[in-house]
Amino acid sequence: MLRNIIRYDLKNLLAERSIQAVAALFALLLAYGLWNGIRWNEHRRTTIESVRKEQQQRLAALPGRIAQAPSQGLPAFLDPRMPSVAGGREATPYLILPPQPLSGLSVGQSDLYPFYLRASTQSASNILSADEIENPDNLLIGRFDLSFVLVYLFPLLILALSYNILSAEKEQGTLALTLSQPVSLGRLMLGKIASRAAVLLALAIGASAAAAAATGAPVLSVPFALWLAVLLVYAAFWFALAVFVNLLGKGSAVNAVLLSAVWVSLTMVVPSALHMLAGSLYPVPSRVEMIQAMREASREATAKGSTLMARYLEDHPELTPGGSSTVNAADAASRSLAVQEETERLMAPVLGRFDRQLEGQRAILQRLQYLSPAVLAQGAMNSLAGSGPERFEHFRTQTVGFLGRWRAHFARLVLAARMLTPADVERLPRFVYADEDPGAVVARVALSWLGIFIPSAVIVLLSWMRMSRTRIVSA
Amino acid sequence: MLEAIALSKTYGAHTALHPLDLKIEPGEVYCLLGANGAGKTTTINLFLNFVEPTAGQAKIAGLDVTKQSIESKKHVAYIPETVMLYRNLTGLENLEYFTALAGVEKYSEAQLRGFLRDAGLPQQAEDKRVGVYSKGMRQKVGIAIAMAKKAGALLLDEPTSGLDPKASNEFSELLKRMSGDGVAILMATHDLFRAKECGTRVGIMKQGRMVASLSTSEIGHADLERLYLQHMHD
Repeated sequence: MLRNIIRYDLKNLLAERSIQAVAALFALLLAYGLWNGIRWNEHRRTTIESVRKEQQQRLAALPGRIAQAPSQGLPAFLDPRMPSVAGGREATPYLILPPQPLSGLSVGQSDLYPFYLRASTQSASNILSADEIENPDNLLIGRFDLSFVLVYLFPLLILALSYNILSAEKEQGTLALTLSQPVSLGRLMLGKIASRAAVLLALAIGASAAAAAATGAPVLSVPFALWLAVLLVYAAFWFALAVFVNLLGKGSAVNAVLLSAVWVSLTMVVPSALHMLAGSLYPVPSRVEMIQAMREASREATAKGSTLMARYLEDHPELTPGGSSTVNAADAASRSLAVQEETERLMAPVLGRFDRQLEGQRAILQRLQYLSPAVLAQGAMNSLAGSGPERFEHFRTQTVGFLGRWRAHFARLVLAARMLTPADVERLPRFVYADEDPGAVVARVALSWLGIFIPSAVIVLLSWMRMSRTRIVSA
Repeated sequence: MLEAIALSKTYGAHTALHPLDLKIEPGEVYCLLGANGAGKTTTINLFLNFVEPTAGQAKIAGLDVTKQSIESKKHVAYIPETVMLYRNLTGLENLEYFTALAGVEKYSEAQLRGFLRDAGLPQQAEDKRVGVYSKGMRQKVGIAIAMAKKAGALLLDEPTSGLDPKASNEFSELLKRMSGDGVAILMATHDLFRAKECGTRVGIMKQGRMVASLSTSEIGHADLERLYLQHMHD
């Protein structure tokens, strides 16, 4: 029975020019999103490849250059044996956040946050955290990638095909003859939804699989299965909504207006309002203000100059094992270490405030994201593609830790007044990003999934309850 | 086969159908006469469970239509006043679809075309999209759908409106044939002549009330008309 409804409804539907146009448009949008994602992924891959290559060549040549340096008589600021030169420039590694298999499907915020940076003794360890993306549109919608098409445009197409599934039958008068057959209204609507879902989901799933295949991601994997699960529950939400609105018994035009209003609210108004709310509850100091504070701190620390040195050495007994006899307090390199640390000490409260505000924003968005399935779906897709804010935060924490280690490593050499030997190059700290726990990602996606599933189930339930009260003929 | 037991329907203060008792046996053709708004269509919609009764029961083949809605619809075919079909499908495809929904035996294509021809649809129209059909042609597809269902009961809501006299006459013949096959038929109509000709019983309705019910063999056409008008003038 259901099969027959689907079959003939599909036949009827496919003969209509409107669905051909909608399907063609959707296919076009998917292809464009797909191409964009793949291009970004390719750009990211080649960038990482080229920085890796540059680093490899530089580090491979470094022992030789160190060995030759004594005979060249270079000035100190060019001498690769100097810890400040090696740690600040010559030996610096790239800290790379590698893309994940599905990264081509959802660019997310990966084009806003840096996916690689160069560690240096001069980098301020906290500066990364000071990144705030101020344009909510960029944050919310991001690139025109596959996830953008699926989260924002896909619902529109679902609604375009389903806003009148019942109202049109009433208006055309076919409903009476159909329901004089032994078929329930529920089954009829289910069949009609199924035929529309078949067309649209075939395209959406096909495009997802094509994107995965094109970026070399395995299609038979947990992330891709979860991706499809998110896609399906998200589509179910919008179909359920269309069914519910149809059961209100209004005309097709009213249905169209109602559903568009819901679409605009859930995909645009709610997300923007959430970000505005988060921004006004936890306002982040402006970047200008922060840079100003940093300059101030740096100037202050420099002015204190050599008086800082003594305190620095007191603070770091571990850097001068066996007494400080080798430390030349007047040495510019040693002093700059002290100045840098003082600068960071002065900056800490400013950056701390910045971090706390951002944390507050994240926390409130985390809780309020359940107001919009679109936000949840986008978040889940970003998580699965490894392009969400959680993974960047995870990466940032590790880079901060590494920068500390890197600086300490060279500080020890500076204070010991040691020059690098060719063998030292081997012993430099190395950065390897340890990815998020896959379990944590699955848990996060599962929560988002539930956040979409539960309202969908409620809508289905409400529709079910309305179904028996729906008038088939006008009184 | 078709039975109404104290069946009534009210919308707020307005009573669309006063308690109606009616029993139509297999082979009977019961014609409901009455002005617009007399309650004819309401009666038919109650049998189809399209509207819920305020009180009483409607039964098809002994099944309460509100409690065993789906099951009862297996035993009844329906032709509305204006048959509306899926415009993008051909007449044949529409017949195929509704027959599949009806859940009756699977017909071959030749059999389906046979039903369309019996209903009087021109052969060249069978494979055309219903969007280009006239009202009469759609009505004939509706008749074919009803015949193919091979149901024990038939509900007709002014089925001949929009049919030309010839088609209308053929339709009467068809009803007689179905009645001969033991189908119980309830037909709402304005056509006194047709009611007298192919009905076995007629009921006259006025403002939701059945005001007269009689056998067509008891009365001539002229008398029926006089009776009808008399009730309308009261």
